[in-house]
Amino acid sequence: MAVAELSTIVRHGKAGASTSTLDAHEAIDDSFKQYSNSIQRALKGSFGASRTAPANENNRGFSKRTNAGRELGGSGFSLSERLPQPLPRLKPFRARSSLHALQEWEGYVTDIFDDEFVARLTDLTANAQVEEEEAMIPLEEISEDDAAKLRLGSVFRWIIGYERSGAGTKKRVSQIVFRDLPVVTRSDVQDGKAWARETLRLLNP
Amino acid sequence: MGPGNTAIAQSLTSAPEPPGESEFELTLLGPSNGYGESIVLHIGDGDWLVVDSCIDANGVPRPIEYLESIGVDPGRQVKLVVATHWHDDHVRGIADLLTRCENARFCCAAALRTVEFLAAVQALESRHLTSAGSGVREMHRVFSALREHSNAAVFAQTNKRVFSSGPCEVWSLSPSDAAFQSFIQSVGALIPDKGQDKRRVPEGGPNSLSVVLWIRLGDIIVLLGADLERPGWVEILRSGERPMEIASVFKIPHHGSRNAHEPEVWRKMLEPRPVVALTPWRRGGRYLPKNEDVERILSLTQKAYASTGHVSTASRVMKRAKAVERTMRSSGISLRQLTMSYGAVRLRRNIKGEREWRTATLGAARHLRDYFN
Repeated sequence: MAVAELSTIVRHGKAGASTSTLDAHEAIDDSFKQYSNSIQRALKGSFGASRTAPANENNRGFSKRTNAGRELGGSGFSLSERLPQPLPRLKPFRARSSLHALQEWEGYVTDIFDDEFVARLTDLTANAQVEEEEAMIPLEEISEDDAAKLRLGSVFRWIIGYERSGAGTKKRVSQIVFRDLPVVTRSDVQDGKAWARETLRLLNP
Repeated sequence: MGPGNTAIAQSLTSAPEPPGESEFELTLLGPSNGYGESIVLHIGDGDWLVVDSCIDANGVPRPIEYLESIGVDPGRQVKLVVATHWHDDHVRGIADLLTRCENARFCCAAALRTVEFLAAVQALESRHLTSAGSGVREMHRVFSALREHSNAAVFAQTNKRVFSSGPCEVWSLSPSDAAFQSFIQSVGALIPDKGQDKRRVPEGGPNSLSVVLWIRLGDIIVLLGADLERPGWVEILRSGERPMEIASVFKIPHHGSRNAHEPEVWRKMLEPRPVVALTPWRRGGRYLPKNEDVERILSLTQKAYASTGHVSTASRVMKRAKAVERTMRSSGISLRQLTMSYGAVRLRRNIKGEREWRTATLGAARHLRDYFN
């Protein structure tokens, strides 16, 4: 497993990677891993397998490689393999932002006015069972995309929380996101009519 | 459960005594979460009727909560459950209510027994999209439950006796044939187009489909106005086939709004200075009754009650983490708590030999003159 391999490298202090870098393993691409591995292979070829590969659980991966190398003869690697390969291009580190919700509501729209709309809210954070609050929300609080979804009965999620950027900055945010609801299909309409006729038959035997 | 509701539930159960076997009771419950009403009626010998439903913060139907608080077994003792119309504020929890009331028949407007309405309900509500309920979802659940148990329902229309038991008769005076036809013509709008998203079905449809109930038990006659608006009342007054005895109790229609007030109803269908009761309603910045509604009603009778007082439209919000409150303030979004006060107006009277109503205001209920205090 890639992460385990890199962790092993760090424990042996040969890749120069810091633990914090490894914590962000999701952002490290395969080319970096290949580069690290090529350095390891080169080092093993230079200093001999027996010096770098004590037989214990922590370096099982190295032992295997060393054994495999012996099977190839000599150090097991060609000169070109022993030398560090050119530094591969790293993909840009994509900063990931995360949102830590302090408060969440689900709401539905009951009235729409020129500059605001009214919605009833269920407090999801408090695990409320029914709508216990009503909000008057300025239209400017919602995005243009969401404004197109604004109709009586539209359902949205309102989240207040902390947004932490990939660079580590933290800010309080209020986000309203309207749900994309499933659409009525032809079969929904047909099933509805069939259900209605069957209901009437059962209720008027 | 909102913090306010715990206190509310306790306040209503502070008067837990059930009515006597020979006592009639009408209790108007509401509102819940900003709006909603329900009426429970004891028709003697431990039998009960329930008209409409609203729910508490845990989703429990208020009429179930009330009946159990006075020692009534809804499963055995409720004989009829009526949905006067399918608006959210009258049917929230009615499917659960009906399920709990195993011995009850269900009654709703005949107009809802149409392929068009039921097809729309099924197409829109066959899959749950949001945790929030809706009137259409409730009706879908009701009809699904009726199908499952093959229970025949009673369908209300103009001047139809929908229930009788011993000396008790329940008549529906509406919806009128005209309202029925109008609904049939407009119900097509409810049927979703192919490709339309399955959003929560907004409250819509006319109040003209409301089922007005006229109930007689011996000398006692009560008139329950649902949300019927003025044109519907004009239709009722025109009808020569309705029961003509006048009522001593009136559930004011449509939360006291002016558009549901028909002076002839007070002259021809009610005793002079009847006992009247209403539930308040509020959504967004709009609310009922307004000051002029309260004044108008009090000019017609002083025996007027509301299930709660007016709650200011000023925001009252739940306490939250400071970071959340700061963000809310800076977002420009104003929030208010819906769990406004809850109460009940209870009227009791012996079925025989008593002329005066004994009135109790429970929880936040009060005399209408104190409505804005």
